[in-house]
Amino acid sequence: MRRRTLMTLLGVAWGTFSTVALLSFGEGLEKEMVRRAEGMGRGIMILWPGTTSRSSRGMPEGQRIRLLPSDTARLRTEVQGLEAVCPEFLRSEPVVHGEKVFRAMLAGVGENYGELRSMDPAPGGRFLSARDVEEERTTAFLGDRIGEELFPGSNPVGQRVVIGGTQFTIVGVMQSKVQDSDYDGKDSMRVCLPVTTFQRRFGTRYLDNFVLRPRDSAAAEDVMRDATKVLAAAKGFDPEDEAALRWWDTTKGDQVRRYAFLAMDVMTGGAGILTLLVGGLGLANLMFLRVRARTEEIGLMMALGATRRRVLIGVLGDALGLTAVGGAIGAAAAVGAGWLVSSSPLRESVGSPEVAPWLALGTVAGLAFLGVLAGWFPARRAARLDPVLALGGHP
Amino acid sequence: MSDPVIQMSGIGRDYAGAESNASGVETTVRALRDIDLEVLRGEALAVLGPSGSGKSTLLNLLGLLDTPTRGSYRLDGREVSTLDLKELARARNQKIGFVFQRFHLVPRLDAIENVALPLRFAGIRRRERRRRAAELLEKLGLSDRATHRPAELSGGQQQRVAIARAMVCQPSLLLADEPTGALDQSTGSAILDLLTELHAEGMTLIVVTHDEALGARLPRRIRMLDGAVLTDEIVGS
Repeated sequence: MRRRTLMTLLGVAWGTFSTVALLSFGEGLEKEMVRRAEGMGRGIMILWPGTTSRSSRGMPEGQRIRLLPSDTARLRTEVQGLEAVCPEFLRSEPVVHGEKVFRAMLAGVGENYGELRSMDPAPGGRFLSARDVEEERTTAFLGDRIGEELFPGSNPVGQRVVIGGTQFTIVGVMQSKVQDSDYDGKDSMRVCLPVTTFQRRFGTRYLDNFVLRPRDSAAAEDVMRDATKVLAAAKGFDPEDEAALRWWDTTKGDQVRRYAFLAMDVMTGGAGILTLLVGGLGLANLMFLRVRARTEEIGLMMALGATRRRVLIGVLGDALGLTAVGGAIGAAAAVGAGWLVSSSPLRESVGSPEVAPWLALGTVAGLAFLGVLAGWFPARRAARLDPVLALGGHP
Repeated sequence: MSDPVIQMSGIGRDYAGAESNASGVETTVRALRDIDLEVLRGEALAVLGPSGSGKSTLLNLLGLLDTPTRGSYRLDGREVSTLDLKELARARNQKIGFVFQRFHLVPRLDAIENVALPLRFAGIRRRERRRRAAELLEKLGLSDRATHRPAELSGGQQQRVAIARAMVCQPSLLLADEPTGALDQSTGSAILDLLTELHAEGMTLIVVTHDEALGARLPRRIRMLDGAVLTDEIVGS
């Protein structure tokens, strides 16, 4: 009986382990993928100009569309469901500090670019400010690799670099981050300048991109349609012409990822729950055996004044206790396995497995349900025993 | 004159279909037929008879473990057939103390926990349970065995623990089923001494046995045969 109890405990533990381990692993993996995807920006869309593919209202086919910094205000005020928009000039230029020269991607941007593109400043620095932009200051924010290359072993904040013959003061360096996608190079190699300063120094008129963020991913389609309409009206191209403006909607990827992980959770969770159910079957079997082995004792309890209800609750409690012990072992093992993964190099690729509150709660509720389910019929049998027969008497 | 603890009139117990003969016809086993029995508070009686005479069935009915097919049974003046399952459990707990031939102690529990068990069903707090159990064990000379488990006790000690358990709720009636049947003669005699002592203190005692010598030591004897009372003799009154 002791051996059988142990095996049953292991069954419940294994079921709990596989459910919790698989789901927490999935949760960690999803978080890691979100983190990587958000390396370029959380819930953003990139808009860049294309070429008309048909003529419309006097604009011929094959005409390049030009986006201007002044279009920023137009988009901000006229497009519904838009949380933020930021213009972006891009240009590859050498950045000089003393003897060191490094070719970087310069980005002339607004002050909200840092937040939109997840370019967070490392401690001690800041991103470009609204005043940097308004006052056309010669300030710069460096990607972390550029900072390391130009200022090995020292803090670049407050120091100067020369770009295109002008001295820029460094106000911040980007906190190192994981970035799985990009356009025109990784952010670690970017140098951000105020959009106004950039335009004046390099005499550029036309923007390379807009970075936009819809209020939520459900609004992405509307933002795309409205922004196209607003810009088509201002520039005179056909709003139905899909070649005139190019869009990269990263929220689409978010949705695909969410569904993919949901599907994965359903599959892995389902497999875990099946394992757990098999454990529950073992438990129900064990409870029947225990009730049979303790028949005499149950008869005695009744003779001493235990009510049927009390006997029922006793057996149920027994089943729940076993479930709790097995579940605790399994859950502890799953958390331990997760911890092992988090503290190994595997973490880089799969993230840290995480027991989310919904998972912890669901596991406890599921185990309790399992315990009651497995204990119910044995408990009912125990409660319905005839004390005379249970005590070994015969009618 | 004392009041009656037990008033049985016209009690019968049948078992239908429990045994069927070769031709497949269901037979009714009449384990008890038409029993009339009155036991006064403070009496001690032996129920004697060969196996199959119906004495165990009578004991189960007296102890509320079984219900009669016919007749009326009043325990402490209360008609038993009107009680529901919960009230029956409560009556078993409060009014009846059982002593079994094979002790029926719970092997996982030590002596004090075994004695305290009925108090748990009475809803008494743990500390008070242990206090009362320890008191009884001391009275029965088992203080030094209080934390021993049944397997660590002799047969006589186990039966004394079982008697303490039967007494712990201060029942109206002590029912003993062959209480010396699993013990050697001298140990059995000591157990019987203990039971008569409890009787001397005022406990109502019913001992079911097939042992004539044991029966001879109790003042009232009922002989049973084929589910009926054959004789009912009171010695020395």
